[in-house]
Amino acid sequence: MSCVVPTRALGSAIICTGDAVTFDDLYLTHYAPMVRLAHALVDTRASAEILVEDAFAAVYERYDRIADPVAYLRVCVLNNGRRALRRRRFRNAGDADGYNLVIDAIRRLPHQQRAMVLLRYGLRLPDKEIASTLGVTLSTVKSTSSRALETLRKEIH
Amino acid sequence: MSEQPTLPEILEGTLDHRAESLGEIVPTDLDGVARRVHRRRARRRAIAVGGSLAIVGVGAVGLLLVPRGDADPASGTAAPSAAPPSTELVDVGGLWRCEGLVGADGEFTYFDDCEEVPDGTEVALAPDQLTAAAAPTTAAVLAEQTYTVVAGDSIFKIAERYGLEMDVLANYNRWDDGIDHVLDIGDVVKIPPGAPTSPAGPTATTSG
Repeated sequence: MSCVVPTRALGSAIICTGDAVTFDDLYLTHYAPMVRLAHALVDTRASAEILVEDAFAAVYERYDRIADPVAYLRVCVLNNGRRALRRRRFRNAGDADGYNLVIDAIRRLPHQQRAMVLLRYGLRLPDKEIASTLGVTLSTVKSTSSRALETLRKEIH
Repeated sequence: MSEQPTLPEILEGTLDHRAESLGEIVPTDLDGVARRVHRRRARRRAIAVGGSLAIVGVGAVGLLLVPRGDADPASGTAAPSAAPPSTELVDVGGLWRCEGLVGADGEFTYFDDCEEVPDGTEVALAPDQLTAAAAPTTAAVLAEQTYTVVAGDSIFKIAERYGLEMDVLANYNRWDDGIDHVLDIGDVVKIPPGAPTSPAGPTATTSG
């Protein structure tokens, strides 16, 4: 079994391969990074935790049928975040400081572009893992990320 | 002169800043997840409409107001009523307020314990509940419908068409992959009884 310990904030989960992971282990390992991921999409910690609990519940119900529970969990969090944004309850990240302007710009991106940005720059996933997580090709990751950056560049600068 | 940060550096810095603003995050016990699992299963069990006074939000998470004369509003199915959905209730005293899933066939699945509504309370319903309350006829509410997928459809579009949450539609159709299910042209999607709006598309049919 090999383990990778990313050092940056969002991607602080220990990622191990080659060993069966129980649901409890998945929860303990990925709860915190998923709450941080969700918090980019909703405004409060409580909302982020509810969103993540719901994602874990979805994973729990299909745990024995999911080939890659971590990827499934990430997609559930992103999809739950999309639903929250559609309800327009979490449109603005807060006061209009530089950080929140960037967060709001990310939230306004189309879903797939937003997912790419959060996985790449939040969780620091390599493009190959983003592709397998979202079920798209590597070239789609590159082209979609490129479009996302182009949009953000116009909005932020 | 310092160099301007690149856009990827700005994005990483912003997301790190937001993540760090949460401080340390320690996973709690699994009770919260267990409650979510319970709710998801409760939603799937619910397939029918019930209620004795007012039903709002048919086919999705809804609000049921039950006269307090009922011994225990959460104990089972209330008697079906011909009362039309209300868009606003004022001075409604003598009610239980119960949140849950409204389906069809005389069943209402409660999410949590019902709360007593104090006499004289003015009940103002949220705009989305008002929209759902404008559901058309009882016949449309009680019948299961089917919808045949055409080019350009998505689960989101179909759910929107019928005023449903995507996960309600996914659960009712028992898609293992939930709202991530991939639709093909010609697929027949079952619309749960209680869908509040009639189909706008040309390929929808009503049965039963």
